[in-house]
Amino acid sequence: MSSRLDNANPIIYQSQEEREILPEDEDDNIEDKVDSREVFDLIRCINDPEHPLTLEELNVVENDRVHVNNEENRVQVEFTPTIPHCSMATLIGLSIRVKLLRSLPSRFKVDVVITPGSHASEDAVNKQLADKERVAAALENSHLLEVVNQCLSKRKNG
Amino acid sequence: MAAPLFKNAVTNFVNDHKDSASTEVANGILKKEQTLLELVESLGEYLTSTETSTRARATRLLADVLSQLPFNLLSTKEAEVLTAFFCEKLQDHHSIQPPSLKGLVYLSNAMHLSNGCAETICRTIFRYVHNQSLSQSDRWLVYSVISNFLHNRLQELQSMQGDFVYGFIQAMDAEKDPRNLILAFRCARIVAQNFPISVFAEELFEVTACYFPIDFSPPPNDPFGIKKEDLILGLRGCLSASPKFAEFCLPLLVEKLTSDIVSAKIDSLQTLTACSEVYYPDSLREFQSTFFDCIKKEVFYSGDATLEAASLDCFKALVKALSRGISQQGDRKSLDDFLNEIVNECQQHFLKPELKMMLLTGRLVCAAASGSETSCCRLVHVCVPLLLEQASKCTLMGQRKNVFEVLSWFITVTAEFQFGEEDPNPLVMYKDSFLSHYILLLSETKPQLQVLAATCVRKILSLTGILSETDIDNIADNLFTCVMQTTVADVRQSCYSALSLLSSSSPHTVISRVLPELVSRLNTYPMDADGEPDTKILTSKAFIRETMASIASHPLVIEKVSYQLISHLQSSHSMEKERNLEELCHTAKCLFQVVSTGVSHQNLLGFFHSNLLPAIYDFAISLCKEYCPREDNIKIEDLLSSLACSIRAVVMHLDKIQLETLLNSVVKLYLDGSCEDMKLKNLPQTDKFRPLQVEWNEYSPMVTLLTSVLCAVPTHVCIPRETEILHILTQLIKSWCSSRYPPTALYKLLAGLVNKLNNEELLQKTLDNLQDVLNKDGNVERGCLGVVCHSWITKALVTRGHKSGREFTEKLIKFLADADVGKEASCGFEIIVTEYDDIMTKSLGANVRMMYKQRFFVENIALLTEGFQSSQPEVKSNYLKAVSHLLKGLPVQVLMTELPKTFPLLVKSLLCDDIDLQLSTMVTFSDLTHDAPDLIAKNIDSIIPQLLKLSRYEASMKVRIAALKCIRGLTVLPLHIIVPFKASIIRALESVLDDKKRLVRKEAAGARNEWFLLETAEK
Repeated sequence: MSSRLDNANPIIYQSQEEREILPEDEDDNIEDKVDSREVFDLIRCINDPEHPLTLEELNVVENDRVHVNNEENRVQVEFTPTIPHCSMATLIGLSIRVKLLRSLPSRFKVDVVITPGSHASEDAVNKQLADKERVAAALENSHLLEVVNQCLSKRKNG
Repeated sequence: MAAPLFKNAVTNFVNDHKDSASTEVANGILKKEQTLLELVESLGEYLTSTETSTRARATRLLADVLSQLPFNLLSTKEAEVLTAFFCEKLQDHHSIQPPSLKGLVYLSNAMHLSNGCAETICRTIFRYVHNQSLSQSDRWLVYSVISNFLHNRLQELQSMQGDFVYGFIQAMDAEKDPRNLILAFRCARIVAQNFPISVFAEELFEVTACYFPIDFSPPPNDPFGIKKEDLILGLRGCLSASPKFAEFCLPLLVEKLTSDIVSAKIDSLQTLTACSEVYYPDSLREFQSTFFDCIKKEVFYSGDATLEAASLDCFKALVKALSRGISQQGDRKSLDDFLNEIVNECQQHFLKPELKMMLLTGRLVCAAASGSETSCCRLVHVCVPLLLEQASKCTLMGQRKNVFEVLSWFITVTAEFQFGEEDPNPLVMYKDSFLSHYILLLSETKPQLQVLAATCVRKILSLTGILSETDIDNIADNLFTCVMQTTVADVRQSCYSALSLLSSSSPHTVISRVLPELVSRLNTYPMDADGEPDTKILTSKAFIRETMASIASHPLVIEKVSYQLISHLQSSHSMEKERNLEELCHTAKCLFQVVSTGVSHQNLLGFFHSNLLPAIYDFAISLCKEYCPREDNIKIEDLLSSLACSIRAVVMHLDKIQLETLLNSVVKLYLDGSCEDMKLKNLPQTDKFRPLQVEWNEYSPMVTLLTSVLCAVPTHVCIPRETEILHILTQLIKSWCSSRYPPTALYKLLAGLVNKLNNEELLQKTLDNLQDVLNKDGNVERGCLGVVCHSWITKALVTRGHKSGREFTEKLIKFLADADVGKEASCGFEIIVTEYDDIMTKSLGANVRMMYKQRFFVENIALLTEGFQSSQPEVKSNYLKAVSHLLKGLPVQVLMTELPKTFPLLVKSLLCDDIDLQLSTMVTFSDLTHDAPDLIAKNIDSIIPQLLKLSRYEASMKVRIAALKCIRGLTVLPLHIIVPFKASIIRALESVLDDKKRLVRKEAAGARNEWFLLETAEK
């Protein structure tokens, strides 16, 4: 399998600390708005399809590349493949999309796109990820769904 | 006389196929009514019968009878005859072989078997028994004979040399039953280790190696109790039995290592690990590069933790084996080549510390380094300078962290070896560089790096013969500075841990350099402009206390630190009144921490007994005098209980004489208000000190410090004037019950004494008095406080399993129905099952009945359920709460029989509008989901709708979160139970994803995702 890895020796980045819980977070009477860190926390622990590492550790997703507008119900996530020819880009994008589909209230419109200039076939991948029907069709495919679910499961070791 | 009976039995067995007849005969022989010889004689006609089946039956009878006799029964002569007989029978018709083998199994265990018999038996078996055509159980007999002889008569078999090896190989060839294989593998290992196998090495290897790697899953229900692991270990024992197998085994392992099946790889790696311990180093040489490639690949690319661990272990074993080559065969080259190969491969990765390979390479190299002292030195001298250079060059946090991480592993590896004067630890050369890096890191702003530095410093401190006195001074100073400057808990913790080690190895450094600094900082009170203590200073005080506690690891330091702390308490309490109390309380807790480390040092107890305890009492008296505590002064109460902790810790460790003097002084102090022995400076003059007086006064809170002595002495030490004390305390309940202040300290003291009281008469009298005081005519005389006191006494009785406990408990259950005190009564159940540090624990010498909580639950659950059903609606929740308290912390196995009855109550508790009750019930549900999944599964229909409803419970986010956690927890139940709910739960949770609280949304998202992954998680 080692020979099939796109990038066998990627840079590893430091994970962020857990979000600190503030007193107002535990106050029943205060309303907390959905913010970029909250959405980032949802996707940072997604597993990379190839390495036993999370997307955060590979810097594929970053807090600064998650944009949330709570009032207008918009979420935009940009992700950066580790190398420009990464063949897993679509799968990673799909995993992020599915995770958000399952975790965010339905009022949000979610866009998942490749960080501009970071991938050779950026437009094609973006187009696929934006196409609702294609995404739905992909999830009908039980093999693909299984692969996506693997990315979204908790790792047993490490 | 008995002969006819005997004859009968034989006929029964042979002609009528009655198997039980053999027992009859065996018993006859055991009782000496007949002899074996007579048996053989009476069998004569059958044994010579022309009917094969009759001969077989007769042989079988003989074998069956033998198998029921003790092994020392046969004389040498008898054994010889029987050997000849059974061997001859082996050559008879094939259907007579099995019973003959059974007879031979007995003989192979017989104690008086003359020389030569074993050989004859083996030769006959090898020659006439075609093992492969026997049934499983008969083949097992063959292996049993061989195995028994290998254990009992190895020398005799060894004389057969190659004949035996050859015979054995033929016998075991093509065995396929796991039960037999276990035995055969054991034999093969003994054969390989004890016989000249050279000629047959390949055959003997092949006959076992053909099973490698073992792939076996036991049949359902596991009727034979054989696990895959047993077979794997058995086979591994064979493959690693002899160095002569190396040339065949190593290519096989290479082949399997490159397979795609993870379990095969792991098995190969572990087998290689075992083999490297036995095989000669030169046989490994040819394969070392190949193995390195395989191991490297697994470590670098597999991402599987078990595989990685097995690879690293194997790598270490290989290096160890090659290093053995130096001493055994003078072969230095193999190891050198191997290490060169490792270094060449790994160097490049060390140059790019930010990449994934860095840490993996580090693990690989350190595994190799831990193989032997030689490899350790060599790799340290190559890698450490390289890493240190990187450490100075790198600027990025991730890079530096990785570099220092790997360096710290090298320290750990060198600690595994005993380096002496002549060949010192290879790190000595780099010590200065290490220290300057770490000291720099300690002053970093990144906490992760500081933690790493402190951890490494601790590791270096634990190496012997590396650091000079100046180094240690330097380290102590820097750790101290770091602790005083950082606010990050992790950093401080790791510094404390290093300081603690430093203190136990170099106490004088700590006493001369660190302690004075700490004391001067503890005793100064800089103020900000408004005269308010700065919060920053308060936090730094907390750090100072923590540091003092951490350095208290050496007796010398402990004595100094505890002395300083108590002097600090005495000198500072009068300085700033109220707001200072909290500070004092923290200091008292710190003192407790130091004392509890100290009591394990026998030589400190004298100091504690004669200096520390009086000082604490003296301080407490002056404190009470100063503050004239009002009845509701919680802070004073806290401070006193913190002081009580120290007293208790000391009392628990005193010897009998020390205890008796202490008891006398303390009792005299409390009852008479005077005490010459303790020399208390602050004790008020004549008759002013009356902590146990009926009217509440400033010294009343000092009851706590009486509890810490009286309730901590072992039962065999008499408490002076106990009757008087009990009488006074009972009277106090009357007067103190009516006060606003809940005198828990008093209840605890009384309960603690009741629990330990040996004198049954006195106990009964005390209980009667208490009943009188607490509840005349079954009514609650003293209101809520009375119920609280009643609960404590009930606890005392239930804990020791006293018969009066029943009566008290029933009364407490009755209180539940009372609208006024029912709530207190339900809390009483919490008191009964909660364990407190200060009274009624085993370590305090209390009477604690085995599993009293379980018994209490089982004895009372029926009454509570009944009470719940028959009670008025407004008090029903009291019963539910009581049950919920009882359930807390009970092991589920104990509850299994009672739970089905209790379960409806639990579901009702969820419906009850009481947040605490709902929360604790959900915790119970979560526990049960793991411990008693069947029960939850059975009731899942009633639980899920409730939980979903609570996940939207407006009033409390805690309830919503707990409900979501429960819902998430349900996913561990068997799939077929929960899949039907998947769609509805996912739908129901969608609205919770938009909860107004972020923490709830997080749980909701977690739970919902978990339900989405149901079928995936299963794989």
